[in-house]
Amino acid sequence: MNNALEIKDLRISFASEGKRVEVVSGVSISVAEGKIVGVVGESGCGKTVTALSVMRLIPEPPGKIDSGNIIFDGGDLLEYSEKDMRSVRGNRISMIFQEPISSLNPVFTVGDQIGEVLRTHLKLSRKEEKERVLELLRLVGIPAPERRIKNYPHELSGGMSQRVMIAMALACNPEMLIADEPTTALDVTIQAGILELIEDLRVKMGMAVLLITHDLGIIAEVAEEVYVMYAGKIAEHAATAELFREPKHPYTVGLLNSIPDLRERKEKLDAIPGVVPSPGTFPKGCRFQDRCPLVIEKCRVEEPPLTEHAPGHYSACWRADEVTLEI
Amino acid sequence: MSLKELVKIEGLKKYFPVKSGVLSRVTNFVKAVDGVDMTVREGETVGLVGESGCGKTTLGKTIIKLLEPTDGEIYYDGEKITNLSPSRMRAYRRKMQIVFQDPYGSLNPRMKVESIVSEGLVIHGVSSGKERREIIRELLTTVGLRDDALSRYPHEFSGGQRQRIAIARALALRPDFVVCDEPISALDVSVQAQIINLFIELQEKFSLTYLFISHDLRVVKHISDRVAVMYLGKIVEFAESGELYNNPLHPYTKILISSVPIADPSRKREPAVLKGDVPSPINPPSGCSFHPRCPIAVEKCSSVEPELRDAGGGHFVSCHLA
Repeated sequence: MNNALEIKDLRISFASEGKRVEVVSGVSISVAEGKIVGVVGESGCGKTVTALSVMRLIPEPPGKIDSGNIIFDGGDLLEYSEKDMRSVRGNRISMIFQEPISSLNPVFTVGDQIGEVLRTHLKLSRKEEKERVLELLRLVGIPAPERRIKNYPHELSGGMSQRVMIAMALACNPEMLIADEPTTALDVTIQAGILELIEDLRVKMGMAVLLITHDLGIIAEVAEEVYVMYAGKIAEHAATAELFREPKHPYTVGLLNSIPDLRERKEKLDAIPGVVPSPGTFPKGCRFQDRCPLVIEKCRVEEPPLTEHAPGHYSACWRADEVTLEI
Repeated sequence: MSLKELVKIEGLKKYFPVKSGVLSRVTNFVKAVDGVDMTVREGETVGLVGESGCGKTTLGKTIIKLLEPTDGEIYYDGEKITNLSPSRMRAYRRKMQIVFQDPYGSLNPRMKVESIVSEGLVIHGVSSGKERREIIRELLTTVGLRDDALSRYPHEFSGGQRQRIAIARALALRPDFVVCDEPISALDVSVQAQIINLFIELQEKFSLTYLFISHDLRVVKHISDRVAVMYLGKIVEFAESGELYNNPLHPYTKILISSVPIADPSRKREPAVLKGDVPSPINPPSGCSFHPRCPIAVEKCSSVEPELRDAGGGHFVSCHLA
């Protein structure tokens, strides 16, 4: 299967108090055509910065993509001119963000904002434009779109605004959708609907999706493949079912065991001790060492590379083969 | 856990006025809490779940009288505290504390941790000088912070540590009842579990009673003895935790539970997706306030409001069809 998007050995740093601090340290992610690939990690692990770099939306300065490639349709997005990039953004690759309400412009109507995307990328008559906007609103499940088209963002609920954002992202039939925590700001009942919508659209439109979240539950529900990120690096990568069944990185195990389960009640949650190290303070060797139950001397000296431990199952841990769900 | 009722509320209402026009006349009310009956027994944890805007935070704040109730009664340890004067209320304030959602917003950035945690002790004139410092030191150790935290400022701490400071502050006066208002929602996943474990440990250590407010059904199930489900200012279901999750009776509870993503890719669920949006609490629908979104609503539901009734064994539900 061909890859819709391939991020290769990406390194990103930010200027902070006169120093350059690396926030993404050699991350590679590929998304096959028509697949939903999840990236899971906690705040500060670099998942959002990675996503923004695909759209070339990292503010430079202070940010800078130091090295790596982002391969899309045979070309390297990092070498595109700003003008070329504009024809990709919102047209062939689209992105939706966590805060739907603040991502919409409060002074334009819903119809205007979706129409803007169409006007930028396609040459449509006013009538065709309106038709397409209505069609998109219907596609994302907004009731009475003829009325909604005249609404301003403040007149919409959180779930509705996220649907409008998705409609906007889909306006030009993109080949690739990047969804950064698309449901974090929403209630569970609304979340279920939005996830179902993304899955549904992928099937209908054959779109590839890069789904970024902190919730392993969401990964389990919709993603076929998953990358676990920790402190600017990929800790583990596998097919979703395999990752949940036989995780090979202690951080993944920690994440899995710290979620309370709806079906059985655990006496005590197995919390991961300590806190996520912030960029610039990463220890020498493995970045998870201070929180890891399996830590050995080697982990403090040498950084474990991401290696294949079973077909298609990668882990960056010196003791990956000893990792089980019960550590 | 005893069967003694520590906190009891009857018909509790909290309305916020909506003003409009040039004269700012009160034209309407937001019915944030609209007639809630509930009991919290000594030593137990009652979980309160619901979607954003359902009134769960307002209910938590009204129970400890951070907000004046519009109507209804609040009893604490058998005493009616609804209309106590501020000075008489003070004795009760010591016994009821709250931990807020956002540890970034709830700690004064200009105060050192020592002052933050000791503020309650100062106000209530409990201990002084060396003795007070010793109490604070012990509290900080209890919540898992190092000694040197005393002389530092909130910005020097991570979210999880700040929440520990907020918990130490709430416990300084040795309360019996603590309202935990979404205390872990702002934290990282790996840190959430640490704080949940801390809440459970502290409950055992100090025999605390919790009202645990959260939108996260997984967390509420883990920590609660009994769980109340709130919708548009009303409790729609209230039961022992295991019973509620295994045998939900209200259609809203059923949908809520089935919407929770489960970290098990081998299980393919068919989520019951809820139609429409939460209606406005200014003009809640007639009859059962859930009827416009309810998959099983019948004609009666739009005209007659169901009462919260015991469906057997202390499992309360307000639905005509349950």
